[in-house]
Amino acid sequence: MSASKDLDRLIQSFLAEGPLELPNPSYDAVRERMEETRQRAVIGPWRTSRMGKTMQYGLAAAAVIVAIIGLRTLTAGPTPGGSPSAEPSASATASAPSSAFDDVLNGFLAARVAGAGAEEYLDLANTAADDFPLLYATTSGAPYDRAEFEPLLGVEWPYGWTAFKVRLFAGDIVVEQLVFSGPDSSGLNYQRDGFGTEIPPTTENGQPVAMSYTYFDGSLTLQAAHPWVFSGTNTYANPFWMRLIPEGPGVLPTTDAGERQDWDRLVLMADPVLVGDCQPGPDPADAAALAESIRSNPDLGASAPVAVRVGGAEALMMDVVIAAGTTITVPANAQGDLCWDGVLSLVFDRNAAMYTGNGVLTGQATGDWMRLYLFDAPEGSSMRIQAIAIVAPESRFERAVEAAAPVVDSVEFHAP
Amino acid sequence: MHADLVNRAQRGDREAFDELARSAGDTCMAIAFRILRDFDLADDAVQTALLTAWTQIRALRDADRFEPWLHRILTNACYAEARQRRRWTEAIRLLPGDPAHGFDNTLTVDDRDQLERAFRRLTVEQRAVLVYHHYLGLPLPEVADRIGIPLGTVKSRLHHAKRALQASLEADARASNSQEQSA
Repeated sequence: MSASKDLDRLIQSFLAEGPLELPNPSYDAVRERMEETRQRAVIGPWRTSRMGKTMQYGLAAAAVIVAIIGLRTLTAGPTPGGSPSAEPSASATASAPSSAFDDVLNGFLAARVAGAGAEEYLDLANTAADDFPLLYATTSGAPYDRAEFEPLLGVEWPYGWTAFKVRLFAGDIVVEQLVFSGPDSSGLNYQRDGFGTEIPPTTENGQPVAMSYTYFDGSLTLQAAHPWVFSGTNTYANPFWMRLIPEGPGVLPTTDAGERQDWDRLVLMADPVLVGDCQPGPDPADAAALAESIRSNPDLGASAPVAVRVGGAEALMMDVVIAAGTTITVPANAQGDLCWDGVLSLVFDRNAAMYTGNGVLTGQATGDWMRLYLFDAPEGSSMRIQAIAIVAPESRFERAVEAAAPVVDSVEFHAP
Repeated sequence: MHADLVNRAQRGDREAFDELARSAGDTCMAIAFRILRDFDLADDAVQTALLTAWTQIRALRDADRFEPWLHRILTNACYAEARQRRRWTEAIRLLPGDPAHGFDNTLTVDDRDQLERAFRRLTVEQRAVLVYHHYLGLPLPEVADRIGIPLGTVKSRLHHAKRALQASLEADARASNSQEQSA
């Protein structure tokens, strides 16, 4: 196949081929089966938003009663020190409440306590078993001895999903997790960002559990826990960034579709640049050179770089402040799209771009503050400089820097 | 019109649902086939999806969103069919080259064979994203909505799918080159 052919066009041409019609007998078969099939009544709490307060409270009370029954059933199921069964216990299913969710949750938790079979309860299209943290044991590897759950009411989750809070006990250790189900789900779901509310998706003894992330082909790993929300994937987005969930109760859930614009961010950049187009160039040569070019730029209110030790590596730390509305120029590609490895791209107001051309975008600074950690990449690495930036408005900067400290400290570089 | 049919179907009107099914069935079949790459499996998935939609249609809040809602059910049905297939067969039946389905003349036979092989190596979840984005032409946020996964996951699957396709095509090309050289 010619290498010059555009992959997108090939995919489109390939997908254009194939059947376009459902055969008539198939419609008839559906119609025949419809005659034998009853429509389901709607029982999901995703309709509560349409109900009056009185009915909501009534349903909530009923759900709590149902949950208590489920909880008692589960906690009376596999006993501590006993030999748990891989199958949902007879008592768990016999006295399970009528809700289909509760039946599934009973089975799911019994399997987790038993140490096998929980994957069968997952909506594998959305939640791979590997993505479900602490499925059968605590962070220290202790197996669970009992479990309980309760519905999490009062939040309208995306996709019409319903949330349950599950608790698993291993001696004195309590693991608490958010588990979701939905009207179209084929099983239970885990959402590692918890849809970005103030409720951590997984805690152990009340502390959010950190997940491990790998970047730049394995040359950098870090650990991040709620309130940081992972964004992008290991290989899709550049820069790689995390968002900080806003402080305070009642933070509304969000999907990744950008409903919330004011995220504070932690951004990873490989070979960041101040000027130039999107192509990596020879400059700056190292972290010190980049720090110096930032420091010497009169438009940037940059502090003097300070040598610090982060995650076992030497780094230069500096703060960069550009007043809101200041005209700045950032690297762009031929189409005028922002290059994400530009240091100033992180504080560029994309809604106020004034000029595009010749590989640059000219516009205004957002006024966000930025803390930069600049590292020299290990010998043999494909990059020269690794940068971590924490970006937030002045009013939230201190909190963002403080919250980022454990993430930054967890950074480890690995030899290529 | 659809909203009226949906409302009637939600009240148990089988005729109304039948009409809905017939208006949406062809697109469903086109989607399912392109995800599953097997006519019979696609037919089964569409039937399952339509029947599921009938049983669950009372849970549909916005009658105007019948089609996206149905597509999400269909996608899950495709996943289920694909999982079932993995259980009972490892054999892959190649797509028969049926001109009645309107081949794109820009693709050579070699292109088509290589793409078919490469496409089948993708996960069914990756294929679904490609089909909604490249076949239906939906923007990524709409794909996320249609499949019922976060936008970030859609982007990730799309990226990995295209990278895997590219790698697969390049591997095929290398293999065919080395065969030509040894001949």
